[in-house]
Amino acid sequence: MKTAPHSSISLGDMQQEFQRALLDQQRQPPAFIVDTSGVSSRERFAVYSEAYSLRLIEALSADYPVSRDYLGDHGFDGMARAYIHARPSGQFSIRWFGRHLPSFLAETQPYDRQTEVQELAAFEWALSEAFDAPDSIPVGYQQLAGIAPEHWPELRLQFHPSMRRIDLRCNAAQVWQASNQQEPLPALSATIDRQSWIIWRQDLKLLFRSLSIQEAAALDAFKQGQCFAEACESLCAWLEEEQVAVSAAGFLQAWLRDGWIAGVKLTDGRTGP
Amino acid sequence: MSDVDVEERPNLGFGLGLRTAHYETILAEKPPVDWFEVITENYLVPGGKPLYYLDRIRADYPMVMHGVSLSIGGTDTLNFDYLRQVKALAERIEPAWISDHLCWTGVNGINLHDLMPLPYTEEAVRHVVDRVSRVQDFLARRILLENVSSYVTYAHSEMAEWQFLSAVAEQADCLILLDINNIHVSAHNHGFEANVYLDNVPVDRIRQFHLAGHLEQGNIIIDSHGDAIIDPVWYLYECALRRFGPVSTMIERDDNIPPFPVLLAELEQARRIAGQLQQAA
Repeated sequence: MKTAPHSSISLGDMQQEFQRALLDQQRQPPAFIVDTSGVSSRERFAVYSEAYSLRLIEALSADYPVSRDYLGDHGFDGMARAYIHARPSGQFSIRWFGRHLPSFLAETQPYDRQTEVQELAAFEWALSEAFDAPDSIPVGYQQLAGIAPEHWPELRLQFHPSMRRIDLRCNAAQVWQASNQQEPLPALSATIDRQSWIIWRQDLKLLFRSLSIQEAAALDAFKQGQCFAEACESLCAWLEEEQVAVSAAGFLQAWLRDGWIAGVKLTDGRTGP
Repeated sequence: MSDVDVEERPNLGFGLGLRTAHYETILAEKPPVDWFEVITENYLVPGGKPLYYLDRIRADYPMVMHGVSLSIGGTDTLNFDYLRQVKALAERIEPAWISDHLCWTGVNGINLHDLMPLPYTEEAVRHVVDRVSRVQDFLARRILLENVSSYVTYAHSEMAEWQFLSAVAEQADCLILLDINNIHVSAHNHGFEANVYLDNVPVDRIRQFHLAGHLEQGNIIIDSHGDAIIDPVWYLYECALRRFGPVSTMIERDDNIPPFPVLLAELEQARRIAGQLQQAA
């Protein structure tokens, strides 16, 4: 083992220099990495610098498989390398490395003009978050049925922690579906109206479905902590007064079916029966 | 320093790494694996499938936790948020032990998600020893540190890798997870005798072995965990068993993950080698 021409470099300085060379993807290794018989310092350093990008591209490919499918290997790798350079990981688990990709795409040329690519990435990250979000036991029909009619107006809801709401102006969900079923991808294209989607996990299964404007408004009201009566008021913009309660009750029934409701509470703080 | 008794070394037998591709097979078939090693960070998540399968498989098998982000040799401050989560996971699954790597993984809050080699210096020994002591105090248990494979040689290293590993283990009073494949890989990449390495690490500190396959890339061997274990590594394993006695052995496979029976057959080979040595003894 060689001793010491660089013995003055501290452990901290050495790590700073090594990391800088890796992040900048320098070809020239730091001076404290030495040639050995048969293998140059450059070749040795390249093992780390090449592995650095490849490992992170692999992590992004796992979180964004449909974006990869859509952009193609070359396009995805280029985008991934730009992201890796701009947003090094600050997480102890590589599982979270890709979490800034949607915002990176929204802020970075040329992706900032490709709304569809941004939305597809946002859709995929929402799926990824729902995958290992906290567990929660959904409320059953019986629990809601046990609430006396006079208490319904004050009913408040808590939702399953895996639920992610995403509003799309393009057909990202359909593209995701096609890729997932290994069918030919439809072109990513803008839709006429904004469409709200909920992505969630039921038992261990990842699911998503679209929301009507009215259902989205009711859900928003409950998510903001409003009670059933207040949520009904928010529906008055679209529905006749006599339709409102029936419609809201219909939404609740669908939410129970989908396992979205994780808790019910009455205004005075009592939890549901 | 040493107050570890080799006679009391727990032996879990022959284990495999727990990988998602095998969850269902393991639950359905309860294959004859003595224990599983889990990558700690994969289970530091709020809920969903990872913890669902972890809990169910844990009900049937002993487990150990193997981390990749402790950065015990890093010069950032220790990440106690991370350690709190590691401790909580350990309370959940009660692993036989917790291990990580003798390396650094990044500075300035950045994680390179790689096991970066340390220079083998007295300064690095002191630095790591201090951090291991604090980690062991926090976790209220001894940890195992694993020798990593390395591809660079530092000009300022002052000792051999095995001297560095031994000094850290003895001075920090921690244990060693000896990766047999990494010794083979580093011996090739740095031109030392693998047996010299084995002969110079303290017997009483060894708690676990790793075995794995690797990739030849020109003049360098890469520790890829993507292929079958090769004969020279099996031979080195046999040498290690002769020197250290029975040690919990585990096969790591992280890439090109084959069907479960292929790994079981490889594990059987480890059993056979260890069994023959015991018979001969």
